[in-house]
Amino acid sequence: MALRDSRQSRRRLFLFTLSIVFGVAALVAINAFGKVLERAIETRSKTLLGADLLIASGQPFNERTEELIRSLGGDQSRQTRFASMARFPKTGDSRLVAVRGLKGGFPYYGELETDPAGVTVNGRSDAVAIVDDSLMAQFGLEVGDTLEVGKVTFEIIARLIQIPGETAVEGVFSPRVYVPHNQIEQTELIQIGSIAYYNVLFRFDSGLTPEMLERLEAEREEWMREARVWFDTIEERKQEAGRVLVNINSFLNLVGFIALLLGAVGIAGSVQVYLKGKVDTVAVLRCLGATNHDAMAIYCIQITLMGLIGTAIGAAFGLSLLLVLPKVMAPFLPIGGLDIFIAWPTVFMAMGFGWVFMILFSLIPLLPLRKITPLRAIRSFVQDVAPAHKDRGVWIVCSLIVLVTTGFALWQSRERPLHGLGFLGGILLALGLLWLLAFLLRFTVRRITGSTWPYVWRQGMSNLYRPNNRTLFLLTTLGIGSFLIFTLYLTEQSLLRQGELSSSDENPNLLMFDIQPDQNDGVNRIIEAEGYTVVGNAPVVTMNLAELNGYDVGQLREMDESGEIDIERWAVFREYQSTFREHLNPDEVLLEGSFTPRASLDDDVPIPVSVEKEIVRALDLKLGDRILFDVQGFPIDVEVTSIREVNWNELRPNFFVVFPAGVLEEAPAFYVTATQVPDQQRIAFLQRKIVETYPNVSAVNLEVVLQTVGEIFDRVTFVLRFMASFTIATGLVVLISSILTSRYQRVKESVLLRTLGAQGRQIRSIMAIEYVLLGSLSALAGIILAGISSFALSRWVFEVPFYFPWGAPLIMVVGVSLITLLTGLANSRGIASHPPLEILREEG
Amino acid sequence: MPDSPSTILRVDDIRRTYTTTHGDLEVLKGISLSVETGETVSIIGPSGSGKTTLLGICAGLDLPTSGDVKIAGESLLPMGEDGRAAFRNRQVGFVFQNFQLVPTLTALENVMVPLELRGERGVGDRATSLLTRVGLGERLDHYPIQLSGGEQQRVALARAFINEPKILFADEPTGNLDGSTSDSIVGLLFSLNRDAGTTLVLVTHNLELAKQTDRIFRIRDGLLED
Repeated sequence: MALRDSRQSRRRLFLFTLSIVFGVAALVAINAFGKVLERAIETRSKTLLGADLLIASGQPFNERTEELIRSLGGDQSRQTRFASMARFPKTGDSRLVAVRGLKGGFPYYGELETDPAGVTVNGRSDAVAIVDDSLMAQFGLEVGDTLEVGKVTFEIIARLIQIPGETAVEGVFSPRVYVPHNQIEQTELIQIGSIAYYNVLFRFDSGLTPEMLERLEAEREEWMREARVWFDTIEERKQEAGRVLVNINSFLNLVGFIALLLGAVGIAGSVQVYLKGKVDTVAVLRCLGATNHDAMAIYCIQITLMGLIGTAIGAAFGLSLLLVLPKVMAPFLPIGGLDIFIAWPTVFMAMGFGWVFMILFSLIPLLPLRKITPLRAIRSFVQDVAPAHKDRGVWIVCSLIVLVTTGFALWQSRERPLHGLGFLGGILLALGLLWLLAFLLRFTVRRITGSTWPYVWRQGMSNLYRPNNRTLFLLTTLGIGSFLIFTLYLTEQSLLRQGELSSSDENPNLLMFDIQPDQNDGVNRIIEAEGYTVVGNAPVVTMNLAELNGYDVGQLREMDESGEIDIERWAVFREYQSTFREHLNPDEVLLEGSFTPRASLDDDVPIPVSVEKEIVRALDLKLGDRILFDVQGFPIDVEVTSIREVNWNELRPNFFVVFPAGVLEEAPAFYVTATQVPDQQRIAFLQRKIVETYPNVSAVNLEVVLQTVGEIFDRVTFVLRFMASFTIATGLVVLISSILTSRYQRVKESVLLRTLGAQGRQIRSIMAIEYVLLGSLSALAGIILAGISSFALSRWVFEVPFYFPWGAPLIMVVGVSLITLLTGLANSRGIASHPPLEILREEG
Repeated sequence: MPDSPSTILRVDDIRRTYTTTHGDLEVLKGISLSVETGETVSIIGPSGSGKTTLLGICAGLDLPTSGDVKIAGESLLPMGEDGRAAFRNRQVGFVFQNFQLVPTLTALENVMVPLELRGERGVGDRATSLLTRVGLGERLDHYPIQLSGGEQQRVALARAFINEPKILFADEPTGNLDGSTSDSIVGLLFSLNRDAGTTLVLVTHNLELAKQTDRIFRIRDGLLED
């Protein structure tokens, strides 16, 4: 009977199944992909580091570190890393690159993927280089071309495709150049005060033993941390990769969650309309002796079967996406060449959730069917269905939905259950607000619709609150879709806005650093000789934080762990690049205290310094706090006497800590200088000129940096949008199915109006008014909610100023209204051009 | 045959064929008839004989496969759907077996619809007066779902007469009503029709009801019987 009854309505039922297809597809793809990543990290964890152990420092290793390295034994590789300008004789261009001098067999696990394959600088001592593929593509370089770094001209022997444990995105921002280790010295680029990192990578026959790890941890506590020497193990990399995985999965799961919830809401609405047309059938069946349960069973079977078909199609679609996802996500993954496999238990779990959601949400409209009496068959106006809120069954189903949704939220966010619950709460709040808004809309429309308004307007607006209206359902589904899409857009805009300010005409766009004190005047002279102004020129002294208010870094860490203080550790362990001067810059604002222009170490009092508010926040500082800085072996006691705010967007040389003049002049320092050059060609020319005279000076073309940031952001945006498209697709299916199902309600009404003499134009206008109002109000509600949520995200998660592009909401409102209108009008197709009886016959 | 000035409805040799999965089904096989202004006629016949199809075509709700239909001397066929809709709005009234009220409109709004569709304003008083005439003066703001079957048919009667049609088509107007309610609806229908001087074409299988009209057309297997 269930199958026979569905014969005339299979097209409609299929539409319901579509509502769940994208949600299940997203769930299956995301969870199965998560399993692929998990296994990859588990089985190839060693390639994340490429070695068993890494020991690193920002300074050349001291004797104690060298002693430790010697005592550890095993196979060892040395790597020195620093940033430098590279010049390409083929094109005459130059660009900042990450130079890595390598000696030894690294990587011990995994391989340096190159083109041609298998090329390495290990064992070579001549001037050869393996260059990041992105850099070669940027300047049209080929294997066999050359690049100059410092005093050495290297021959490019291969393209670098992938390095174990590093994402491709890292290479885009800072292209990597591998050269033989002995060539580093020949470049003559590393001088006192230069920023360079020194790594030793180990491979042990039996891996890193627990004893070794114990010893390293003890040494870390004893002296390594203070000496700014750190180590990294496979296990730590694995945890780090796991955290990346959790972050990626959290976002992806969010998408699956939304798609499934939206689909479930769509199903409830569609089934409701479908079953309204079945009320008479049920009444007749009841007359013929069917019990309530028989009647329920018929439609339960139909929906169950459709649910199975929907989840099966969704799963198949999701599994096909499993082939695409690794490619889409590749630039952000710390591991390449994933082995794709299907984790069937995960797939069935996702399908199970999808199917259960579909059944539960269908039950809400299905349950009232059991209350239909046979009398309805002979008295069509008999009202035998009690209101849903009086039906105990509906309450039980609603409770089950809450339980299953909570369980689902916890399953989806198993690493961070609070996030899952928080997100669920947020969505419920948004749904609640939209629901409330829909109520308010109905109430307002009812109140404002005047009896003197033209009939078409009155009818169109009245359809929003009259019996059989779809206002609540459509406003909620359209609103939640607009909300999610616009939140994504607004957050993205606020983040992008960060980069926009710097590309204005007044701000510097070429920044040079690593300028030795005796080169500073020369560099500035070249800039001025070319007719440009030096916008910012400052000495930079590197230093480390040794003590804060009398507590050393070890104690600070312990106090932070015990909750005694609340500080951010990056601010304790970072290397501070500080400057000294007699004044504040125009892009700095004094927030508290007073700036001291001059001081002297001879005064025997703490040096008064000015600290930027970000560090004040991170270290929980206040005026009068004391810091002991280790300035390359020389301790300097300072006192926080002023707090500044820096406008970082202007990209001038700026600093967290500013010393007064008269203190650091004798410390080893380098200079940074900035200038504003009108166009790319002249930037390249000036850059070349400086690099030719001073090869050690690094220049950053901020235009290129911004462009690179933009490119990376484009990739992130693409991923976000790719995944959000699941939600949008579900939203569209729900929209189309809900409007199509409302056709079955509206068509009889339209035909009746047609019979009474309505013109096609009038019928279309009535529908247009209803749908445009629904679409525009949904979009508006979504935008208001998105404004609130993206404000919160910008302020508290990304910590960037909130930006609201006023033009975009207008486009969004028009866009959503237009989609709704077009779908609605497509829905009324044929009503105006066919005889009324013919339509009634076709619609059944 | 030329139309006499008093002929309001003229049907010439109309045929109607439907295409089904089992082949073509000819429901009307060549029917001709005419109705004079102010006349009341009924079309009777067994189920499936084609009487509702004939009514639909006469009222311009459906198109014949061949033949012609004229109301007040105007052929409905060349008008196009919008033309026929406008024509119905001016000249034709309807009463259906299942009432066919717009479920999203109140009783008063349902009655006002035909006039509002042609852009008339301030028609509330006329509609109220008609509803009062059919005994629903107290239920103006009720939705169809809040009215009994008999009450819904009264609203439909008021709506049928609001545009002062030249011809009224009624399809089994008492088919969904009990005996006593039927009697009162029939009484109301004839009384309103008489007062308005409207031509009435009634489809029914109720011979007693048919006998109350001036003429009876019998239809069987798609053809009129003598």
